Amino acid sequence: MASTSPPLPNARPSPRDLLREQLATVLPHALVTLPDDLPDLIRTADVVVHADALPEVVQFVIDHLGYGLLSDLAAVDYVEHGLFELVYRFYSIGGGGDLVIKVRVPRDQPDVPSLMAILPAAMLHEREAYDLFGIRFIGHPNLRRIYMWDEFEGFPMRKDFPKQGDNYIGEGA
Amino acid sequence: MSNDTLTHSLTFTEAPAALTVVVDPTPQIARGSAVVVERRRPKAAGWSLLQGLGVVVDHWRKSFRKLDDTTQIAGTFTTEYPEERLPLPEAYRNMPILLFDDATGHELCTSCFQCQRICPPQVIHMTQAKDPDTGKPVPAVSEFIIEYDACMSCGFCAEVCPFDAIKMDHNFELSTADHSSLTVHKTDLLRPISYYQSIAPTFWAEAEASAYKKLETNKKRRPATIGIAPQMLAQLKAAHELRDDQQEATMPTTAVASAPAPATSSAAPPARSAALAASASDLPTDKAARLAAIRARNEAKAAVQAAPATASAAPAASDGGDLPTDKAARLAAIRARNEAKKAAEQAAAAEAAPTLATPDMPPTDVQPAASEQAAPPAPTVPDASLDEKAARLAAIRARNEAKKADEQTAAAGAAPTLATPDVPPTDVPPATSEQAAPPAPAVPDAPLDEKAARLAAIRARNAAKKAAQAEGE
Repeated sequence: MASTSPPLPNARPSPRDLLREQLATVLPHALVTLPDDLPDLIRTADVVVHADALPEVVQFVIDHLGYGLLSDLAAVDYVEHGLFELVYRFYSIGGGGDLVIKVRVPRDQPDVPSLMAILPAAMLHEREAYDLFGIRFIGHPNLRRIYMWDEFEGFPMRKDFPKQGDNYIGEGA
Repeated sequence: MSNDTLTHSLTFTEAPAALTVVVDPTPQIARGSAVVVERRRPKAAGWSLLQGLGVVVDHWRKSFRKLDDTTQIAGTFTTEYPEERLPLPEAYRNMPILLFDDATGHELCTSCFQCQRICPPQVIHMTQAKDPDTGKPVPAVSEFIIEYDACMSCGFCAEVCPFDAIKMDHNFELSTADHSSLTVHKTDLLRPISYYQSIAPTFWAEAEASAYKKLETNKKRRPATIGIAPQMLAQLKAAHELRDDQQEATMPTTAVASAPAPATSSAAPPARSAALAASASDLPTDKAARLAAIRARNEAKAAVQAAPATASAAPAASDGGDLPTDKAARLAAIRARNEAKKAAEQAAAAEAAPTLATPDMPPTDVQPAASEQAAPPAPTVPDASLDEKAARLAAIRARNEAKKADEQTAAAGAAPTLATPDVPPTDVPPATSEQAAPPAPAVPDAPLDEKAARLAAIRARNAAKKAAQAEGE
């Protein structure tokens, strides 16, 4: 359908585009430029930032864009590509859709700075991601298992977690 | 910026152009950083009211604008959640559920313990069902517990299940004030396959063939009602009763307990209950019903042995064999009742009369050898003797007692026909009729019927004994 009439005056740019635009000027070092020849699976249109710069970006998003609610922190295990992806989802009290910030870390060294200093709401989300995926949140004051018992070995939601049952109960994965 | 010193001390005024946030390895939550929001001061009395009206007028004006497509709409869109819901993707998973077959009620789970083993937080617990007769394990689960409160929704249980018995549900509204209700037992975990099919059609389409194939094999190894979803037992029972009603409606003269195969039912039931009834015909409840009938017959046999005087009369009953046994039995019972009424009117002493009666006394118009006195002639059985009359009386008593027992159990329409002398007395005809009656599914509630039938048989035997003692005196 051809849109002949111009968009309404109150149509806003999507928060994702806004963030990308502003980050490019304020925190250019935080943005990750993804190569064009990425496999389809890990190609993304969302804003991907460097793990080290994550707290700065989040602080900026809270203070200047008004997205102060951390709704969700998801971890994705791209086992074939050797990386973990963390998806931080923010909402604004002012309304509108969500704003997603992604962080990618290598699978063999999954270290991400904790957001606890900025957003106490990250507490349980980060413990869950640690428990199930083994992502280490540097600076988290209480990074313990949350679903599994403390003696549990291995991280069950990793794609390479063994599925033979009894193997991991008690004597090591 | 506010001039209030108290708030001023708590605020930071402007964010620096380039933020530098230092991540402290021993973090402290940065409290005290608050953003002050400037609110517009009302310019005059009633200003806010005008402002509000302005919004209304603005929207009213915009409502006249014609849009070409939805991309020209801007704003915040909401779904009115409890009434409207966004569709969930098929692969969405929340908590595990168990599946059972819609038609037969059989659970798909065989208690292979795969999910219990794989479950990372170890919240699945199950007990394998055992055959109550042999004590051997059966491919079915007797109790299945999942602790929803500790479940991490990983979906491993559904992934490893070789029988497609455990699947992940889409229901996410689990919040409750009752913590213990989050330990969910088998009855609350079970869902029909049609439910899973509705939430994940393509997933079920992939699994369907092998799941049903495996279920068929496992069903054969499940005795009685083991492995049937508890909530389906009531429905299957209702299907039984529905079919029985239909059979009674179409064949009013046929005794319920030995009603022939459901194929003769000409009434067209609703499709679903028809499917249920058809599948119910191979249910083990039939077995229970048959067992009840056999037991009742055995009791009756024992009664015959207790009063051996009747033995001579028993073979003669084969004279009635030219009629269909059930019909003949009924007819005889009706005749007996009529005669007994007359006899009761004429002779009050008839109760004490010497009698050979057992519940198995042939109610057919056989002439016993020991006819002593001229009985008041019955309309259909002119040569009926006193003994025969007494036997019929005993039969009626047994029937009444059976009826009483019936009223207590409320379910057993078949009990009188099983327990009272209406059952043809000779050994051979009932045996053949019982065995020939293809899976006799008629008794809706087997345990109750069985009980009632046994009770009636015992009472009939006692009545016969009493009568025999009276004769001895």
